[in-house]
Amino acid sequence: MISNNGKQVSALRLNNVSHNYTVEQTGETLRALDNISITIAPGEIVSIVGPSGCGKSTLIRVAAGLISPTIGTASVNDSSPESARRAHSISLVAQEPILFPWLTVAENLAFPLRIIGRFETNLVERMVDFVLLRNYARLFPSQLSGGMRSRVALARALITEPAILLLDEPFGALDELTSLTLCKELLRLWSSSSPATVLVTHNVTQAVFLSHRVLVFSQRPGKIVEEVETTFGEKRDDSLLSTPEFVAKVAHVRSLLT
Amino acid sequence: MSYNMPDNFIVKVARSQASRIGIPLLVIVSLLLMWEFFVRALNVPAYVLPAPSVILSALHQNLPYYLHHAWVTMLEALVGLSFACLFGVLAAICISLKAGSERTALPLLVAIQAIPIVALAPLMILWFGPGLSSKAVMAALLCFFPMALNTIKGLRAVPVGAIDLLAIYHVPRFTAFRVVILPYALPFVLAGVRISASMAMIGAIVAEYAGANEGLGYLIMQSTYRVDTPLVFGAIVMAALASWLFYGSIILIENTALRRFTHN
Repeated sequence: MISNNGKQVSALRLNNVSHNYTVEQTGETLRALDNISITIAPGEIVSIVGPSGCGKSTLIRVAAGLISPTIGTASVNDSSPESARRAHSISLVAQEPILFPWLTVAENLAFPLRIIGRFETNLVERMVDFVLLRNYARLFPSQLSGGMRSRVALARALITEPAILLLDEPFGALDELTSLTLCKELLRLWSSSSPATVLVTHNVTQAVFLSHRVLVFSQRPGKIVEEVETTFGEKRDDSLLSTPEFVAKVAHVRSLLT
Repeated sequence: MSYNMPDNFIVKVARSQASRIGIPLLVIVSLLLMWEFFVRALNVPAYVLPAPSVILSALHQNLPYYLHHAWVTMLEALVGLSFACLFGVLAAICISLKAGSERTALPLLVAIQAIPIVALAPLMILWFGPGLSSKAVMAALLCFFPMALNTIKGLRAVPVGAIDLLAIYHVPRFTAFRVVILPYALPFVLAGVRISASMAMIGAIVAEYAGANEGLGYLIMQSTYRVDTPLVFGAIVMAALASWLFYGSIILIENTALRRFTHN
């Protein structure tokens, strides 16, 4: 995406990012990410697929400003991820939906709004309706199914209307059918504010179905092997899954992983 | 075909409840009857081993006296437990605030726990006098370790994902502690209080042995010196009842708090 002054507009930019870990027991240094450069435009969904341990989650943590890269820079809306966090521009959904067990569904949704001082009952109620959990608003997380918990975690991440949405295998712990249902739900929720989204996943079908671009990572240290564009337009539903183009794209991404 | 499952279910529940309460009760009553029988049959003098009926009579005749001393001991235990809770939790928070400080602090805590604290009782009387303070300090010393250790465990129990979430929303440290970390740690803190409750009573009674003017420990020592064995047994029964009451109250508070803060 290009701005009026000709400069490329980015919601998230990683410039030559490398990240090393030190193994505590042995003192050995391991490189998790190697010279990664990514630019994600506002309103774009980019998936990252790759083998286990290739640094996908490390990349999410760098983008969120939870860790600093060893080499290179990360920026969110042209400022540091730390500043973006202070401005409440980033949301994160992890594989295990972290819902506070002592709060109800509605209270969990209201949590970030209360923290950032933008709490409005109407906003929470609208979101409860939007994620189709009206009848479950007063229930506690332990009373919900895994799929419902993921949906609440997703809704909580979107309720603050962040500029960047980071999804670290958000449906990884769910069965295939629930995962597919939630993918469609994610697109529906995402379309309300369309934040720039980074999705880390093991599921190639999910990645191709949801994203505008799929970045395929190599074994550790993670490098971008190929960037695969998807050209299926904005409207994506079940019928897309069986089209020859979609099947071919999934097969292509899979071939890069093996 | 009649459907008689609910009746069977009620019968099963009733039987299970009866066996849960009835069998222990039956064992206790049988043991007391055997005790009574042998003491009477063998003509055991009351100053050696009084019969349960004699102990019951001593308890009945001196009830206000026993209640006063039980109240004093419970108050000492409660004050000691409160201080242990306060300082144990504060110590755990300080230790958890700095990464890696557990490695130096934990051996120190274990060293404190390894001291036979009961041996310090005479010193406590010397330093804090024969009143409530010395007993409360003794109870607090016994309870401090389980409180601190359980709180450290609780503070460690916060999932990494929750810590990340707090960082993402840039939650101020004190707010994060109040609204997220404390509720996660609460079940562990309350378990520490539960463990400490019975230790607090032991601490208070042992300190009373070393020197006191009132309390169940004082009563036991005084009655022993006077060879008033029924009164000693009465005081022991009273101490057990007071411990149960103390422990039960803590359990009640724990359950109420857990119902409010956790829904696992």
